[in-house]
Amino acid sequence: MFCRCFGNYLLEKNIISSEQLSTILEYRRMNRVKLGLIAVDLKLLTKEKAEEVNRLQATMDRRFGDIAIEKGYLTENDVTKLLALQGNPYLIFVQAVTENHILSKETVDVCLTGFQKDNEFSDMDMEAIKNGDMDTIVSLFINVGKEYSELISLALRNINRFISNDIAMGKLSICKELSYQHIAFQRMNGAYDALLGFACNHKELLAMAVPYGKEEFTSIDADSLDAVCEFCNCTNGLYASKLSHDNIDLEMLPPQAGNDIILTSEGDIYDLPIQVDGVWVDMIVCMREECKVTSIAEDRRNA
Amino acid sequence: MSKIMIVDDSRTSRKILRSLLEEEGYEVIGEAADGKEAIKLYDQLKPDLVTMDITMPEMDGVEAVKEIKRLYPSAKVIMITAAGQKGKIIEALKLGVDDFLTKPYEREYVLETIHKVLG
Repeated sequence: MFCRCFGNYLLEKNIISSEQLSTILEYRRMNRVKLGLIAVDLKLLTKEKAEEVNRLQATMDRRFGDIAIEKGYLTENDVTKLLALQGNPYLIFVQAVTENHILSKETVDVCLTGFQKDNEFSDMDMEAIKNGDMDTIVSLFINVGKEYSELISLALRNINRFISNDIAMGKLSICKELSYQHIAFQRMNGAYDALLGFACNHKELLAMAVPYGKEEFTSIDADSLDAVCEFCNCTNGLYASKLSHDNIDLEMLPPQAGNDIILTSEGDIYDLPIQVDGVWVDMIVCMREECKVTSIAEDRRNA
Repeated sequence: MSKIMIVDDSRTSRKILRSLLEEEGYEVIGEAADGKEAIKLYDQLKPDLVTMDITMPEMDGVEAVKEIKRLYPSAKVIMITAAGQKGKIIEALKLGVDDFLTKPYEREYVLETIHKVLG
């Protein structure tokens, strides 16, 4: 989330080009943060000492941590701490831009201050964004009630976990009616009605279906929509499990898919565009009021 | 190696579980997409274990287990569910379901549960 969001910000400000953003995202997909960079960022090592260990590592078949411990630069506890931070979104971004000679770490930090100021984020908010804390990120970028934000952040965490680590959120819109060419969704009922779905107007849902189903789908058909349905099912299952700890029972209904459909509700339908591997799909969430899903043909017949 | 039958309306979910089980050497001898199909297939294949999704169209997992257990009281069944589905879980427990699993599948936990049920 950090790489795409902050990358988009730098692109909008003309600090990086779209090609450079692609390079950063590709690098992020293929690499983990180097221990030396984390150690310098945490001020456990100076830049010079980290470079020295890197140089030694290049000539020996040994790990960074082992060399640093042997030289007396780091303790075993330090190395454990560094290993835990290898997936840190901010640090991988810094590594991507520096290793590809796009920006220096100093420039990244100056731009981050601008990003923080432009969005009026606190220091604590910025730490959460840099660490990829999805609950905080959702609450900062979209202003919705707790029920909505819990389901949305859970869905985003699952996209990150099972589909892609290259995701970003667009601008949330709230409406009473929406139409799509393709949708995969699942309803829950019980303590209240809820619906989670993903929709698109061309083939965008393939960005979710292919990695989740681990199959090279090339068109939106029953099988590719089934993969997205199953993603909804797993996400809703975790959501329902979480609620059950608070004695709120939601029953999940079989997931469904549809083509050329209209969604309508007396309540609010939340439509959150999500960028998955550079492709925009719409996450649909509706709670408390029933969300009707009808085919456009049926809707015309009823009109 | 034990023979397992997977019942789930989602083709994707069946595929994920099949590949996990086959990697561990289990033989997946059949798949069914709803409760009715599951009863028929159980009768034909007599698997050592059934993994049964609780939420399915046509006939759901609880109804299918009820029928399978009526016909074959010693049938071993693991129900795939979410903790929120308390009503159905209680029904399934009363029917003598052997254990429960939740999605998304956690490899270690799936294997541990299957191993435990198969003894």
